[in-house]
Amino acid sequence: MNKTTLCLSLLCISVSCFSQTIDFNQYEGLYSYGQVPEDFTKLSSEKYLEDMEKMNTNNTSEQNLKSADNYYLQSNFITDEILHNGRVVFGDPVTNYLNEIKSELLKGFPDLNNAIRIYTFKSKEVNAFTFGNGIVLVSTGLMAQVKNEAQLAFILCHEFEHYIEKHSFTSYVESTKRSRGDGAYKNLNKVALEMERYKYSKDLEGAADLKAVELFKKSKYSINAVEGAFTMLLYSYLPYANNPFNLKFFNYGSFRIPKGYFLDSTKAISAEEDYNDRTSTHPNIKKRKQSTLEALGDVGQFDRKDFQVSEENFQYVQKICRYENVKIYLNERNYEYAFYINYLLMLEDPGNPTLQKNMAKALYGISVYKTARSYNAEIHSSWRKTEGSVQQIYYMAERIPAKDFSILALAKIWPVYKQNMQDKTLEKMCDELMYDVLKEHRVKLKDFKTAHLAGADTLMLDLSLQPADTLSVKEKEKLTKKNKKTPPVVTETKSGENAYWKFAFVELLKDELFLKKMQQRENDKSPEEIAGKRGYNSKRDEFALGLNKAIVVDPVYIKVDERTNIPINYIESEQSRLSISQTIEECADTLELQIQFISNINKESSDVLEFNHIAMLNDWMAEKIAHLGSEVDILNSNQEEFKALSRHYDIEDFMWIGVLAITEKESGIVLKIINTLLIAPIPFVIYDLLTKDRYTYFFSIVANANTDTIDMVYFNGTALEDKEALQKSNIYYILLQMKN
Amino acid sequence: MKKHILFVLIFYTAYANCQTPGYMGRKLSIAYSPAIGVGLQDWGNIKGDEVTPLTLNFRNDLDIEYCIGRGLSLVPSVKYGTSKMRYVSYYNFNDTTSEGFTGDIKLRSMAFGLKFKNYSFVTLGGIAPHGNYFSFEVLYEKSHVASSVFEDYYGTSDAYNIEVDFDTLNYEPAGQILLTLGGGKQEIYRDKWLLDIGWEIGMSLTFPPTKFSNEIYYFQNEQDFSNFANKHIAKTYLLNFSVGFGYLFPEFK
Repeated sequence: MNKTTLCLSLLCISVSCFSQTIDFNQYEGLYSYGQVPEDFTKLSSEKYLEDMEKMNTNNTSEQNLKSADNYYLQSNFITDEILHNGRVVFGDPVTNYLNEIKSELLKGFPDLNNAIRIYTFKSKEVNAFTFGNGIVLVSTGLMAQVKNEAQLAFILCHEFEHYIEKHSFTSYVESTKRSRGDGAYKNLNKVALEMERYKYSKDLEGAADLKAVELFKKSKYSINAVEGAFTMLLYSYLPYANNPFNLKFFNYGSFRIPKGYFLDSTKAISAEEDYNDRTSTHPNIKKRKQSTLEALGDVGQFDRKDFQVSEENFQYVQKICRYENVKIYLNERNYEYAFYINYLLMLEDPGNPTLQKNMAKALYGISVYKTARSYNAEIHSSWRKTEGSVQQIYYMAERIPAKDFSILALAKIWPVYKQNMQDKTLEKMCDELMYDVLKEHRVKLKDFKTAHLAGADTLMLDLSLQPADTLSVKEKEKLTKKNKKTPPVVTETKSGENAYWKFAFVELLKDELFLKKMQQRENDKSPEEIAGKRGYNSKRDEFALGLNKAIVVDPVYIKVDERTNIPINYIESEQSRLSISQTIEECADTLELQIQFISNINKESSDVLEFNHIAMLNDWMAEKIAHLGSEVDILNSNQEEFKALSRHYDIEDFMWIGVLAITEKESGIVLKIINTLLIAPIPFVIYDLLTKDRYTYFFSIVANANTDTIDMVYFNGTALEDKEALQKSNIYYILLQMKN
Repeated sequence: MKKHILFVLIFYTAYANCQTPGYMGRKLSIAYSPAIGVGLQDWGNIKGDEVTPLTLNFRNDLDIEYCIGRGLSLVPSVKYGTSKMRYVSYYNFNDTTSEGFTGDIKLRSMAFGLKFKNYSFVTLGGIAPHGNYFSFEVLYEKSHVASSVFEDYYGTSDAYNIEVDFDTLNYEPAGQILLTLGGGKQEIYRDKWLLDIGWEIGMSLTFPPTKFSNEIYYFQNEQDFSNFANKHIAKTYLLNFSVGFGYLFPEFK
């Protein structure tokens, strides 16, 4: 490939990575576009100083000044932490649409319209929240659930009122009073204080509801949306729709899953409006509905509509958010939920390649975790805790044995792969599932039938009809007991000639490629020889990666002083975070290791690409760490995006690095003084008492985009202050291990 | 003894089988470390009815430190120390000789040591040559009399031929092997200057520690004196504190 072709292809990758027109057939994710807003580029410390300058210090008591100082310090830094974590997007279709609704609602309030900035928050939670500085975040979870634009408008009105009434600041002042035990909080115990907190929060939420109604009434949105918004919130713990799951979904050719693996009927939805809200931050739905309906009074529906901006746009952005939520569920390893939401989307667009692939990822995820025997302990939530049609998926995933599930997943994913044979991820998934079936579950290729038995379709479908003789005495007893309350226990004839799973590949074995790959996997001798079976060895504490170049992802630096009221030293942390890049650079230069930084703090307004890259990388790392924590070696759901990013920079290896510096409270002083009676320890005790107890922790993770693996994890805890020499010492060692 | 030393060397060599980052690649340093120790051996020593005050021993160490692992460094060192034996009483009377001495004797010692400084990456998080460390050192030490001060403690007597200058006596203290264990913290400033604050406790293998005595050093022949002198020097290694100043050489490429 010549240089021009390479440049062009890299340009195409970078453009296609985050193009604004969303192609649902190749959905890549919700990312930021255009100029980076000042909210994201300005340093937190600058925002804090500006807020303090704006504050009117005349006639303000010292205590209130102190509270305001603490509030502005913490709120600015915490808000920015959220803005920079990659989950908040700007300039995207969803954010643009939300801001259009804002403008519609605040037509008569230009100052307020300018002061409030809305961004989209990539989260499955059905939520919207407001910061004291006028930033409102609306989650993709909420966007996926609302029924129309008017409901969304009412929720935004509620959030605007939080800002107008400065609820964030008053809550902070109140919480300070509670923690100090001032005024009415004097002599209250912990439980009473906690109840007071809930009560205060409910009062603010109730007040915001009523004010929101006033603002909403001034708009031309449908009045019914107020009640509708609360009804939507009531059911927000469920998927956005409750379509029954088609039990024939997994049928393939003549292959059928036994009915015993599905529920006869799913649990009815049990949401109640008048629930006990004593320990809730919001009043219950019934109270909220009542108070807002009273406040609405007899406002007529005349000339009011569910859509003012655009119904078409609403449908479009809602679709984006629903697609995004599937990504989030996959990223958070909630495979059953992702599968069901994806299933709902597939009902509308069955042939969509993105949805087909999402389905493959969900099945692959469940299969790998079941094979690793980590499914129940690490990612699965019992089907009994779920309601509605989604319960069917949880039940099925829980009941089907690991071996059967791997076979089922492979049978379902292989046709998806065949439709897009260029897709390396699907190919890798199939390879791994084949390996799991043949090697982990020790099934022989010859065990699979190549032709259907006459009448097989009906013979093995319903395991509840299985002859009792195939069960042990214990199993029979268990079955008898359970039959009274729950559906029958599914057991299969392990050595049965006609076990249903043996017919799973009847159609697939006619495919030469499938047969060839299965034969290859059958000849595999060790897991290490299989693609995707490599992984980070947690027992190693020293590495030699042999790298020449790497990307350093947004270094983290947190300074904590436990002796102070606000333990996190925000200002120093920010300064250290900015300066550590220089230290990394210096160490890399010494080692002649080429490094490139990706960071989203202290950036120019044109650096939107880096924001998106950080977002993608953080998602990748969060998922990978979760898998590592469960000790499951599995492909990440977003590994293709990671690879695309790697191609964009032409660097395969990415390093995350962080420092945590803690100053602890002096403890055990009495014991130390008693120690001095022994005379010899006197110098040590004096030294200990005179010096601060400081600890510094360094961590670093190096990941390879090509192999989708974490190749190095470095952690070092020292009882030393985070001076320059300590930083250099550790950072140099980290980079040395990468270089050697 | 040789076996023990060999074992320790093998153990540390095996332990050091990992990458050596040094400090930004810098592995070699030189340091001068004055050390001070309390003269515990003199504590309670009496002069008549008077109790003597605590005395201090001084030592000058020249250390060359080389990092051989991420948490380990090897430190060959030369130590030059001084110590005073208070109220020494020596006499040697026989048919032909009648000589004695009473007074203070100042001893000088020279030692060569090999120290292992373990910054213990796993437990302390240190990366040699920076951070908290534990040390283990093997020393070979030999001392000699620097000077003596005659004191007329017993009074002059015609019966004794009192030697005024102890140095004229023909004696040679034997060498001894010592072991020390220590710890400390080594800081680096401006990427090249070292500050090492440490402590150590030690004992002689050749002259194992005996209980402290509050009696006057009292001996009758040169061999006795040699033993006393070596024990005295050994006790100067009991507890020492040091502050080292060093220079970290640039990385050799």
